[in-house]
Formats: sequence, C-alpha cells, structure tokens
Amino acid sequence: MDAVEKANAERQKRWVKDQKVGEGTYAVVYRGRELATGRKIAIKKIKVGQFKDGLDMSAVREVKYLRELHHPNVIELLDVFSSKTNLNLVLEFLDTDLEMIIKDRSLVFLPADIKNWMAMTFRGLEFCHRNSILHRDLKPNNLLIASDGQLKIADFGLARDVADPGYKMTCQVITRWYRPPELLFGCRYYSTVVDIWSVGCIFAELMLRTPYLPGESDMDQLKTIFRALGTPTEEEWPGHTKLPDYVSVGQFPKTPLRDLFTAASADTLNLLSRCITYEPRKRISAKEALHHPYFFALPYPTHPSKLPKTAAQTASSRPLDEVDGNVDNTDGSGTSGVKNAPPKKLKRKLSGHDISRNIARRIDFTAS
Amino acid sequence: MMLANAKCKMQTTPDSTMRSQWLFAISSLSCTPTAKDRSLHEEMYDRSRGIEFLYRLGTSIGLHSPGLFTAATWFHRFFMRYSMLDYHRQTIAAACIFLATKTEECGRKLRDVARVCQSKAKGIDVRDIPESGPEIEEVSSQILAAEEILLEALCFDFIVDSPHADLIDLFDARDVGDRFQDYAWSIAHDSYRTPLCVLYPPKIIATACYILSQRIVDGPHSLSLDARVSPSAPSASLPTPPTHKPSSPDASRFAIEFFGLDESELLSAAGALAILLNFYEYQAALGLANYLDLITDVSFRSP
Repeated sequence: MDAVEKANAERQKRWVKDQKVGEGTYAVVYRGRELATGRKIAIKKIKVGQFKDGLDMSAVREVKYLRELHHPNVIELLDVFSSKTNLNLVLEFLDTDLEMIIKDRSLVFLPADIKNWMAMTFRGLEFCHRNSILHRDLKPNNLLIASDGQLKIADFGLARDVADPGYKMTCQVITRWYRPPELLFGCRYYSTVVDIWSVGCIFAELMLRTPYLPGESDMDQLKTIFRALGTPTEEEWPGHTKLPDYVSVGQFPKTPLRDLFTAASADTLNLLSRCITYEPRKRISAKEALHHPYFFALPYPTHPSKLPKTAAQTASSRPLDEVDGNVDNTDGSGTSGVKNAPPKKLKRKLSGHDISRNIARRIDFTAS
Repeated sequence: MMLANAKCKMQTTPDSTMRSQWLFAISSLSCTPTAKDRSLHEEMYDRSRGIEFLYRLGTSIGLHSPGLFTAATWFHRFFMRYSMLDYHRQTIAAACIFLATKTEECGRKLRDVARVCQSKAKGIDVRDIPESGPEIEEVSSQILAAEEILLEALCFDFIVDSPHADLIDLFDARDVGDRFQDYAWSIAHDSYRTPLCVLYPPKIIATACYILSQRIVDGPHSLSLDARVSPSAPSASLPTPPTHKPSSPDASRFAIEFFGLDESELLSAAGALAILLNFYEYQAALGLANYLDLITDVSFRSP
C-alpha cells in the first residue's frame, strides 16, 4: 500500500455511512456522520464504471467546482475518496430546502425572512460568479437550508466556467420554470445573468408561495413569461428576434408587477424587475443586487436562526434516538442530494473544511 | 480569455496545499515507480513520447490548449504514482485527454476518442478506422479502465494551472513583440514534454520560458542565461554591458521583478531553465529539427 492508498483508507475511516436517503440518476445518497465528532454528513456514492462514457459529466462538474468553492452560502464538499470502483463525495448534511419551506403551508413568511433568503442566495451566487462559474440550475429545490438557518447553494451538476467569447454553450440548461427567455430562444452565448433570472423567479415564488412562471412545455414557458411580463419589444430587448430558435408566441400586454405583488414594497418590486429584465445586458448582476436599496431598507433581514423552520427542522432539535427509527427519509428525486432527513441539531464548531485536506497525499519517497 | 479566467479563480482559492502536494523535489525523479526498472533517461524519453502522443490526440479531436495542458499535467502526476511498465503511456495519455474533454466542457464521444487514438497509435488515417467493431470496443474499454485508475491517482484534483496564464500577465505588462511572445509560448508548450509541471509552480516555469525566449531574441552575444537568473541584478556587477545594450537597463530582469522572485525561487527558475535546455539539447542532438540551433546557441554553456 503506498502512502496515498493509506491516506485514502484513513480518510474513508473518518466517515460512517448510516442509511440510504435517496437515489438519483448517477448517484446514491447516504446519510452518515463523522466518526470522531458525530457531525452529520451526506455521502454521495457515484459509480464510476457504469456509464458508457465513463465518469458522468454531472459528477465531473460537481467535483471540479465544489473542490474549489468554499463559501458559507455554497454547500461544502468535505472530502472525496474512492472505494473499489465508486467515487464518494462527502458533503455537508442539510435539513431541508427552500422548496419544502415554501410548500409548508403552516409557515408564514415575513418580508424580512424573504429578504434574508434572498441575501444569502445572492451572496453565494456572487461568489460563484466572481469565480466565473455559472450554476445553471438554480431553483428552490437546490437552495438547501441548514439547521442554523443558513442557505446554501447546492447541486453543481450543470455548472460550468464562463466560456471564452465566441465559444458556444448549450442552451438546454436550467429547470424550465426558472429558465430565462434567451435560453428558450436558443441563445448559445450567454453569461452569469442566466442565473439571475432564476433568482428572480425564486424571489417571486417566495412572495407568491407558488411557482411564478410554471410553463408546461418550452413553448408554453415563453407564453407564460410573456403573459406575466408582456411580450418584449425590439426596443426593450434589441435583437431577440434574431436568436436561433426565435418564435413569435403572440402579443401580450404589459401588466405592472404591482397588480400581482400587491403587498410588496417599491424596493422589492424594483429588485425583482431588475432580475427578470428581458435584455440580458441590462439584467442586474449578483454584485449589484447585493448593493440594491432593497437590502438596506427596513425591515432588515431576519437573523438566520429566526427564519421560519419546517417541522423536520424543528424535530431535528430533539435527541437523535427519538427521531431515527420512525421517519421516512427516502427522497425519490434525490439527485441533488443531501437534505430531507431530520438530523440531530448540529453545532457548528467544526466549521473548518481544512481538516479534510491537509492530509498529505503526496508520495513520500523517503519512506520506502 | 479562458486562461486569464482560470488565473483569477486560482487567486481566490484558499487552499494552496491542494496544489503544492503535487510538486516534487528533482531527486524524486530518480525514485518514481518506473525508476525501479528503467533509467531516468529512459523514463524521461518515454514521458516526452507520451506527451507528444497526448498533444497529437488532443489536437486532432479539437481540445483547446488549456485542456491539453491540464491533460499533460495529469499525465505527469499519474506517472509519479504508477509505473510506465504497468500502464502504457498511450493508454494513459488517451484517458487524460478523454477526462479533460469532460472537465473542460469540450465533450467528445468515447468512441471518437478511441478511433483517433487508434489512428495515431497505428499511423493509419482516421477515415480508415471502422466506426465500430471489436478493435474500437477494446480501445474504448481500455480508456475507461484507465480513467478509473487515473481519477483515483489524481485525488480528483481536476483544476490545474499552466504557465501560460502567467505569461499572459507578463505580456500584458510589457510589450515585447510577436516573435518574443511566440517563442515563450512555444517553449511553455514544450515544457510539458519534460516533467517541469510536477517540479515547479507555473510562475517559475513561466519565468524560465520568458527568460529563455528573451535570450534567444536578444541573440547569442547578449547577457548569458546564468547572469539573467543570478540572484543579484547583473546591472550592479556589469555597469557597461560589453557589446549589446538591452533596450532598458533592467529589461533582462523584467520577469523576475514582475513576480518578485526571491533567491530560492531564482534557483528554481535556473533549475527549470536547465531542464528545458537539457531537453532541447537532446532533441537537437537527435537531429530532429534544425531550428533548435536557436536555443542551443544561447544555452548556459555558451561563452
């Protein structure tokens, strides 16, 4: 066994696999804990050899980007190790996600709560964009919520670097309801603002408590968008009729956002409208959004620990033994991972990611 | 451009240990897994042949240059952990290229990589290689098997820096003309034919490429390479350069000052230069290309 294999075996021993919590297209997700501390973790087991093109692209992307990104609002990849022919990603374990919170009818959202979720989303996203990484699949289901209320962007299976100018990217990304109109029109050259549109849709969904633009097909998605925001004019979005897959889906009049979002403040509606601006070049950036007056106006954002919690999260403060046996944790959709089960409330004293990495994996030639 | 992007990213990465664990002392080269059965010379020769194959395969399937450099770095890292007797250089080169097409968002079908690989290995035109069949199946499954071992050997460290990003910074900071830039750029490409990427950080390799290129452009009668990487600025000891006056008093120190290299880093740069020259001299001695005279004319040992 060389030094590296030894280090790999050592690392593997640090983590204990408890139970299966979900299965996706390319991975099985287990709930587990760190042996030394009992800290809750999720292990995403990826089969390397089972695809005809080798290691799956989403796994490649997830490993590539999460190994690099470390931010309080981005999910933390704690470790990577291999066992036989499997690749194992050890991720932070999170109690729930924004979709479950939105759907939990027993919860009431205050404007200040929404403001903090938005602030955390923009902070995490700004960090990705600053490092020229596009997420390309933002939706409430991929914004995970930790037991202390922190929001973390997860599922980097569709992420990529911003391409060189003139280098085509696929437009078949982002879950339809959150997909910006330029991608629906087949635009192959785009940038970080595709993610901003998605954030705008999530923002609206937080206020409405139901998806804002739920199209039934790609064509219907365009209609749904235009019905809500009016058909764009050439002046409003120059050149959009020249996009590869442009189709005319009919003329819809503009209705002010105010008609739908009756209770929202002027700042709120201004930020929302800047996120769902048709012309990509005029859409607000994550950095600008963080400086938007919305975040500086009253009411101030709720402290993360005071944000509305789902029953699962509340249950998670009970001792683990009570919860363990009687909760159904299986998450059918679970490719994005790492949520949905009620773990013991964890104290965040072990915040450092450094523990996983300073194990020397280089070869010690002097040893042999 | 992409190289510049990649660079920004590195600077914001908190974790430098992840990269430094892939840098080895020069003496390690004589105790690699291959070194048990082969001489250092033979291993270096096979590595350079592996990289030649990797470049040819990568270029044919249209992988961009940053992708080639990433794949080449993985290739050298892999053979710091596995023997070239156990894993054939061409199979590993193909696995590196195939994995790089995925991490660099330049997706190619496994079958296509296998076909081009077969064509390069056998020296047959790719159009004469069948679209499918047992031969292609065989090569495909070899690449897949190698990919698994490669992933583990790499510890999943996919993101790699290349000296090219540092060269871009140097070129942006001082206009040196196309010939100078082309030389430095090509030397940086060639640096992967040697194991420099597992010995020195990209900044040091970029400095070596820059200084060598500068020396070639300045001509055989200019300041020697030794003087260019000496710890103290040569202008201090040589108040009047004998025949050739550099365009600005410290132009020959530009890269060193730009990166603020300290004495030990200068030693590293000199070490990197020596390895590059060694490689080129060997190539020139084989009589492979006469343009290499440009480089051998200005090597350390010239008067």
